[in-house]
Amino acid sequence: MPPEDNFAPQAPDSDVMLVQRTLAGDQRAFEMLVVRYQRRVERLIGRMVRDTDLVEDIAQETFIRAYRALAQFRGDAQFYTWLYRIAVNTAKKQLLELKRDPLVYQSQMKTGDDDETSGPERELNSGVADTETPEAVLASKEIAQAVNAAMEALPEELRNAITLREIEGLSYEEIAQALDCPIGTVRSRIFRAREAISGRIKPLLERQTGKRW
Amino acid sequence: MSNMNTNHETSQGTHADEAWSALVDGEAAEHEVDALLVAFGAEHEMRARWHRYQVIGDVLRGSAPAVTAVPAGDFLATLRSRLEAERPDWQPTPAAVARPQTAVVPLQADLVARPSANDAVFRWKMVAGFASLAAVMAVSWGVIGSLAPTGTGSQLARSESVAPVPVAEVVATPTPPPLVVVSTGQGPVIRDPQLEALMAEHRQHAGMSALQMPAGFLRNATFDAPSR
Repeated sequence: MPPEDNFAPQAPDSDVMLVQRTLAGDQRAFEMLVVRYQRRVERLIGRMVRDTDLVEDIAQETFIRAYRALAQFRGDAQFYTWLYRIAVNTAKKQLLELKRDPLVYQSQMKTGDDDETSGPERELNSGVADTETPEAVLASKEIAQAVNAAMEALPEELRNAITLREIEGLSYEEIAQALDCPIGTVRSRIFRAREAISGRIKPLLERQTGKRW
Repeated sequence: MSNMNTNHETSQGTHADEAWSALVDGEAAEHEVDALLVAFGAEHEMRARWHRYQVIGDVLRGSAPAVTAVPAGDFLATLRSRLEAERPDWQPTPAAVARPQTAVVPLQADLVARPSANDAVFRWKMVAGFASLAAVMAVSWGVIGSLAPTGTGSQLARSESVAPVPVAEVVATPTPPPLVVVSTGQGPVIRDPQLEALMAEHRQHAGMSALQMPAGFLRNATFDAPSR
């Protein structure tokens, strides 16, 4: 598990590009963003709400609100930071509505975990949310082990390339300079590393998530 | 030959597959993104690949669990139907969708009416146009005024309805050649070279009498010199 201060952000240019395509009328671009951030949003909401179904409802509502307000995202901050605020506000709003029924509210509310000032950076090492089913927890651990094993099995040049990209957050150009190779080679190595790891986790994911897309 | 074709197809396929990985890192070219979006919408395996790539990154960074209670495909399917029912304010018209834009549309600034950037250029173009028209009119005025004789039966139409030139003349009217006084047996004769040139060009109009005979006397204007 990487240290908390080693938070490597998702490629912001990729998110901005997908936002631009969405605003140009391509819903598929937004769906790509949903696939990218669904799990993080659900884990965030799961820290505030107990019920799994309610977590899913709030996560759905979060993405709908983000879709409606997408024109307000200007790219001056990371997309997930913007999405994080929407998710927190949506969860709080839902909890306020549930407050009308004290019994339901008490059963849903989690204490001490709705600190909105913690920000997305504090999500690292936050542990397992209670809303994750035992099957999901077990499957996540199994997949994580498969990823780590696949990384160790990679040739050194592929492992170095994907580590610099995914964990250190370097651009292709920076990686090319660090590894003293062309950018095209960097792109190829990272792709081959992902494909090698993807091959190992594909059957595990299909078993958990099914083949429905 | 078949091996070359296979290798070419393989390299093309690999290059297209690489684009998925490049898009994860924000390093895909615009034209690649176009193709990826089409594939994402059309092929189950492409959506699954995109999902796997996200899981790999999240696991390596520890930023999200690999699996949550709700399968990703189910979540997306439910959301998709809701997204299709949405009509946000920013949603472009079908015509705009046909012309994909790459720039993010600012939220509020667009709503403020701004003058056109080329307004000043257009105004100067209008002024230049009027100036050109005035110059043409001035030249015409000068030419017609200098050619048409005063008080004689000129057949040439003289435009007197031309409006005064509102703008300073761009083209100066040429200085008419000096009149020549020729002494003849009938007295001094004033010869106007411009008149002669005009009459030479329009012989059928200049100096033809009702008898259809050239009337040479009309070529010469006479006057009685003041006696001393």
